[in-house]
Amino acid sequence: MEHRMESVFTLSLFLVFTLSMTMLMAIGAGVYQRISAYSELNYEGRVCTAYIVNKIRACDSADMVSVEEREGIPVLVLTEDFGGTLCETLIYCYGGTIRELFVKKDNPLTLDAGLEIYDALGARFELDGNLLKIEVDTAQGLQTQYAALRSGE
Amino acid sequence: MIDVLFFAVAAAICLSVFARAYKMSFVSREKNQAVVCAQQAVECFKASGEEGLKAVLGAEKEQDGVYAVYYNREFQPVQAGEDSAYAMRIIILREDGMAKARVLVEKADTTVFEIEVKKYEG
Repeated sequence: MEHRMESVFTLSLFLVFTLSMTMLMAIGAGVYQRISAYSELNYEGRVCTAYIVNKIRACDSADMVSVEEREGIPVLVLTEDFGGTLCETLIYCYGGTIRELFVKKDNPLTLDAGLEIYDALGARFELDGNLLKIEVDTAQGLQTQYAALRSGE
Repeated sequence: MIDVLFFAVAAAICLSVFARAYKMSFVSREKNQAVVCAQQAVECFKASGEEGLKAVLGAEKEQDGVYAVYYNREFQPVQAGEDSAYAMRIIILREDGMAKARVLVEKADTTVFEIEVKKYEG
């Protein structure tokens, strides 16, 4: 009888341990999942606009940053002067991706030739004085970023 | 008995580690959002001063040289007092042709993020 009681106790203790371990693992997995989902969301949410802002910072010269519409698509145009030759970096959303196209000014290349940078549903740019508003529509939601053009100061 | 005690201690440690990880993740998320909001304010201030803060971010003038924008828990802008969890205050000081803005993102009595920016006004 005593031996049976011992067995039951050991078994129930083992069961309690197992259940607690499973619960702990489930809690841990949940916490990890939430942390990792947020990290990803944060990365996805900022990387695209951060990239565009960095491109602007690199090309920020007086009257060299403009917003135009080409082929019916809003395009951010960053113009650079390479020893008298004007070149343009075009940033825009085409075919579900943010694209970048570096061409000589007045080059006949069309927007589908751009290099794919990041998946996006759309992009809008608004230049109001020195303040450029960048809106990128991604699967994670609309990302808005402002960039003050230093060359306009 | 020792087994149970050992397991209980190990479980408690594990739970506290998870809780701490979750809290750290929350603080990091809060700080990230605060940095984004402060960055928006800085860019608007750099581009067009107080007018930019009012027009673009909808900042309200609290007193001379102090503007505020309120956010809810998800860092969406809200009106003052309307379910606001965070407040971004922009304190502007002018001296010697420079406008200095101190941007503070606050939650109750604590400052989540703070940044200072200068702009030459001539």
